[in-house]
Amino acid sequence: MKRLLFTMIALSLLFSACERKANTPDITTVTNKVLSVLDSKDEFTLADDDFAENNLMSDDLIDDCKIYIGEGKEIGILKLEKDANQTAAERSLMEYLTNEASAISSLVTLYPSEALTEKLGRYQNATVVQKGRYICYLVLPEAEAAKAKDAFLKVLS
Amino acid sequence: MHFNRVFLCLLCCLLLCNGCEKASAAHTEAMQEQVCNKQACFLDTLTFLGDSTTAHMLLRAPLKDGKESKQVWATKSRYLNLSSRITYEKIICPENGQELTIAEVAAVTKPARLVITLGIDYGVYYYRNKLDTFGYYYEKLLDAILAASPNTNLILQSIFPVGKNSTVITNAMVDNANRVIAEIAARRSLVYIDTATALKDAEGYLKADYCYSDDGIHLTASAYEAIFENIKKYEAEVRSKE
Repeated sequence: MKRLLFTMIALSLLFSACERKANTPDITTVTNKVLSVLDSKDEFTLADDDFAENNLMSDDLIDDCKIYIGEGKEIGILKLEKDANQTAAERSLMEYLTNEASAISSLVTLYPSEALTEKLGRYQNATVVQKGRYICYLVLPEAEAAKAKDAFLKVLS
Repeated sequence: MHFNRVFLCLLCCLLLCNGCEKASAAHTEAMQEQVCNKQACFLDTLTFLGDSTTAHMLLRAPLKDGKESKQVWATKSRYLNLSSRITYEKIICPENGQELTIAEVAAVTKPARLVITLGIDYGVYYYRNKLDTFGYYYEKLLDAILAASPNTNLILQSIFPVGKNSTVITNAMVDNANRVIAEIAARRSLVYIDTATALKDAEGYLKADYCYSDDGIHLTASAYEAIFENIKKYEAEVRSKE
């Protein structure tokens, strides 16, 4: 009887784990969910595969990613490799955002304008959030970034 | 009878003169067209894509239609970085006023000749130590344009030099980037227009007369005249690629 009970519990735990794994949404689902809450989703263009590799982090850290570029806005959703160093990935993203802010700062000096100043503020205050193997950065106006962050966390919860 | 003859004679002369005048006018027109086709109008066949120095052509360059010219492709803000975002940057499509990517504008307008002058809006600075990356994104843009408009004759113009006032960008950075552009042009068998040399003073800076603003980057009307004069010298080479 004990053996039967033990086997049933073990099987139940196994099924539960498998179910959870199967329910982890793919990157398209995550991305669509995040984009769906934005007012300005039509402004974005999906970047080519080389963008993340050349700008964000080493290719061996990334399993899959989708980067959307808009006018002074940017959204990046990356699924990291299973054994990727998540701290290193987050550090790379922060470094990228700092460098971008620095580059925009140079432009603001040369071409002072409200649009560029707003863009600079968005890169300086970019949101980076991690959940499981997913890491996301949001270069958006504050209210939109909050909505996108909630959507990201919710779809992965 | 005598008067009739005189009248007839006068009438003939009048008709003859009139005919000559018409023929002469037609000849002049044809000549003008010929001159236009061969020289001045070469410039009218060009479309220009670039950063702020290209955008400012609408304000200060001797374009045929002045500020209304459709020859200039530029962003709404006028600056355009040569960076990893270059193929996603949106410019104003002269045909419909929409903001589209450069490749999308190329697909809509299919320019016969496109002069590209890119890098001074900080591309030369971002990639001062990564010239391969500068070249990579420059070529990525060329590929995107050609995919959208395969028959466009791409003409690569040198980045313009900077004046003594330029605090961040140096002429060494500009020269290095220009070497990359010239190599790309040679490898792809495209025309490379060296305008930088034509705009430099004896010390290698942008001539003082050509500096429009204190930043040492933006150009005066006389600089644009010099640029156009220089471009005209490449007409035969441009045509030879077609």
